[in-house]
Amino acid sequence: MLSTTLIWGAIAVFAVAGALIAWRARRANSGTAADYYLGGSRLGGMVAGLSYGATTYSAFMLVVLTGLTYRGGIGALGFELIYFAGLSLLVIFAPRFWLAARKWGFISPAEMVGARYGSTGVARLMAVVALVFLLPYCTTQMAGVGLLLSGVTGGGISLAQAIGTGAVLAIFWTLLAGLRSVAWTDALQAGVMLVSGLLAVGFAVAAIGGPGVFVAETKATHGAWLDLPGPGLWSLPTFLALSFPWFFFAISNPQVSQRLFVARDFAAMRQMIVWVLGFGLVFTLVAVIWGFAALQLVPGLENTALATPALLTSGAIPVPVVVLLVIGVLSAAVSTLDSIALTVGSMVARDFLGPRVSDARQVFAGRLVVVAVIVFAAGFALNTARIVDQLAALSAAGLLVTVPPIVGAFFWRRGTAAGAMACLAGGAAVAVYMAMVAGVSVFNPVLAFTVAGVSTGLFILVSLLTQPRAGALDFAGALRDDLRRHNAW
Amino acid sequence: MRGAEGGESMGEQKRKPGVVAFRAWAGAVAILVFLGGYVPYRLLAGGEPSLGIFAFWVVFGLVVTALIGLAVARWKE
Repeated sequence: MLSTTLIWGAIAVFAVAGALIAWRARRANSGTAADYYLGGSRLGGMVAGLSYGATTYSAFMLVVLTGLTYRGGIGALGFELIYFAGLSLLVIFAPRFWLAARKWGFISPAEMVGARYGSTGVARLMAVVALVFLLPYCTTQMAGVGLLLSGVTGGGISLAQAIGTGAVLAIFWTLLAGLRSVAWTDALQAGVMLVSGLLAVGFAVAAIGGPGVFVAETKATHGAWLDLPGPGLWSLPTFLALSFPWFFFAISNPQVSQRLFVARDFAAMRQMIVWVLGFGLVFTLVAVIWGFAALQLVPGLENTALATPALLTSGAIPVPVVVLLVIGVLSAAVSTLDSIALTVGSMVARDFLGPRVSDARQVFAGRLVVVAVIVFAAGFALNTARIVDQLAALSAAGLLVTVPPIVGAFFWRRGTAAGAMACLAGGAAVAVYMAMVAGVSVFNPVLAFTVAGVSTGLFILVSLLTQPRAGALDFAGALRDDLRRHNAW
Repeated sequence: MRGAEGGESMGEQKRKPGVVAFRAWAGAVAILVFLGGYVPYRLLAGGEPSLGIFAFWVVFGLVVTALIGLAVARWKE
């Protein structure tokens, strides 16, 4: 086990470095809502890309994905790479989100979709759907931090202390300068995640005997893990059930789609996407190879979510690298948590209070929401609640219901506010009913495909039966010339 | 669903090289995603333990990166 003092010392250094960056970021803020929630939409490509990467690639990677690899083998890589392929949606939607935000001053993705259909009701309903499915997802980030810190210190750092640390960092960095401090600390954290992950994997493979021995040993002792469906987890239906909703993550999850508003120009947006691609591919490989290394170095774990802490305390990884990776996982959790909290804050400020309220009140309301979201996540991570666990597992499939109104906003003029609301409400109700009442597992593809089918069907059917509102915006027409000018599809 | 450039006739769209390029790109992505599941599950699964599936998915990730990179490279300021 690692020294508790050593881990606390490393966290202190990390916290001070983050605080300095966040404090520096604060000096650039002007006090407007757009500045607080979007950094004034003046972020450069590298910071925006690393922030996007750190937000997307959460504690899930080195805790859950590594655990899924340990339990089920190579299928985990395919699942994560289908998500990665979903980043191709950015080619179509990133220019549209960015141009719409510039033209009409949108701050939250729900505000944008609501304006397209001429309905604040659509915006509010989309914000509620995001709240219902994202807040429980935050608890899993907190739980991941708790599991890791208490695991590597043998309980020397308690679950409550670990979760409290993550919560304080996330709150402080978000309150200080909003998106600007979140993005800058995200960039630092993305660097820590990548460097620590690469170093840890390198040492783990070396401890096994080098790449050749690692591959030979894996083939000899865990050959089934290199195959499909592997030792049992990755049947084709399970692969489809998990991959399908995650493919749409880039547009269905507002904490990442809101990042499409923040680049300062098209060149920065292109750089942002390139950084996300590079970061995502490397970090995915790190998480999966780390899982295979754990199979060799710490075989026989019953709780596969403990693969990372078990490998870190196995003695195979030098202590400085262990400490760095612990900070890397803490970074992954905090960067996702603060981004979700800030996005939810912006939704409350813009979609419930509205642009008519002063900027100062919008920022104040958002700050209150940020604290509430993180305290909620910490509380439920400490006191496990079944309903929160179920909603967290359901988040990817549940957020699928936001996809039809978003696609329709840009590509189907006939889509109406009534259709969008029927899609959001009906789809979310079906998702909750199937998962929490009928007991359909998120590993069953019937769940995700039914939610997608029902929400899409309701959107189309109700839209055809109703008329677009008079105040609805015409994104397709209004953005056409700008898209041509930027040579975007 | 309307074309990527929104609200134009099929005749107009067919004349534009950008639309043709978009359809080729979108088709390539769709085929790639399908192959991302089909090849490992139907063609590579079930043999002797090897790095075949791992290597396939690494190449899959690189091709995804290249396709997205090609698409955003054409953007103009």
